[in-house]
Amino acid sequence: MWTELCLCNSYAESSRRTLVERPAEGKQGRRPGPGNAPHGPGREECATVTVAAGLVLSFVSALAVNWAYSREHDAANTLPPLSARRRSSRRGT
Amino acid sequence: MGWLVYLAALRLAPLALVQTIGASGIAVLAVVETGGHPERLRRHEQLGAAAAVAGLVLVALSLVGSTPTDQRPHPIEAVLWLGACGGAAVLVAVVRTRVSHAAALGASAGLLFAAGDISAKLVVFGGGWVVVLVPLVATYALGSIELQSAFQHGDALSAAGIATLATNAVPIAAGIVLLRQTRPGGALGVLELVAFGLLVVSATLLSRPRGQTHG
Repeated sequence: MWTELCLCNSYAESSRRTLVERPAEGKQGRRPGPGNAPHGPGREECATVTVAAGLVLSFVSALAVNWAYSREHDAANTLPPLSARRRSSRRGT
Repeated sequence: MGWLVYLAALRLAPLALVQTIGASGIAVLAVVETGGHPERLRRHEQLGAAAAVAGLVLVALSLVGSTPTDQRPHPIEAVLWLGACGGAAVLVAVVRTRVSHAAALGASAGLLFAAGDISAKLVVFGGGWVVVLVPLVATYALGSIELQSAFQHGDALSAAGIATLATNAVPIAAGIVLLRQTRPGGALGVLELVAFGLLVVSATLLSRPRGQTHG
C-alpha cells in the first residue's frame, strides 16, 4: 500500500510539475509522450487517494502523539517533584 | 513513531489540512479516556470535543469534489516565514508586556513549534529543502525548553493554551499563504476556514499542561 501511495504521490507530483512548467515552454506546446505524465480523471483520483491517505496518517499520528503524551503525563504525576535541592538532601541522608 | 507518521502525512497531504486533522487528536483522545462518556469531561473540555467533531465534519464536507495540494514556496519566502516565527518568538519572550510572563513564554514556544512544523513540511519536499532540517531541530529543541520555562513561571494552563493555539494556527496560515494550498471556492472555502478555526479552538480548549492533574 505504501509503495502504491508513493508511486501515486510521485505521479501526482510529476503531473503538477508538468502543469507548472508548461507555460514556460512557449507556444510550441508539448506533445504527450513517455516522459510526460498524462492528465485526466486517473490523475485526479490518484491525487485524491494520496491526500486522503495523508489525512488518515495525520489522524493516526495525532492519536499516537497525544496518547504517548497522556501516558507520559500520568507517569510524571506519580513521581515526586524534581529539584536540585531535593536531590542533594537525599544524598546527604 | 508518531512524529514519523506525521512526516509521512505531510509528504502526502497539504500542511494546513494535516495540522487541522492533527489538532483533533487531543479531542478524540479526551473522549476515549472517559470510556465513551464525554459527559465526564469538564465543561470547557466538552466544548473543545464538540468543536473538534464539528471541525472534522466541516473539513470532510469542504473536501468533497476538490483535491487540495501544496506548492513549493520560493526559498526566500520560506526563510522569511521561518525568520518571522523565530523573531516573533524571541520578541514575545523578551519584551515584557501586561500579559503574564508564562503566557508570553507559551506563545514563544508555540511560535517555535510552528516554525518546526513548517520546516518539517519543507523537508519532506526533498532535494535542497533537506537543509531545513537544521532550523527544524533547533526550533523544536528551543520550543521544548521555552515551554518548560513557561510552566515553571506559573499560569501553566494559559501557557499551554496559547502555545497550542500558535502551534496550530501559524502552520495553517503558512499552508494557505506560503505554500499556496489550493482551496475550494465559494461556500466550501468558507466551510474549510470555519473548520480550521473550530479545530484550533478545540485543541486550545483541551490543551493540558504537564504536571496538571486531569479530572
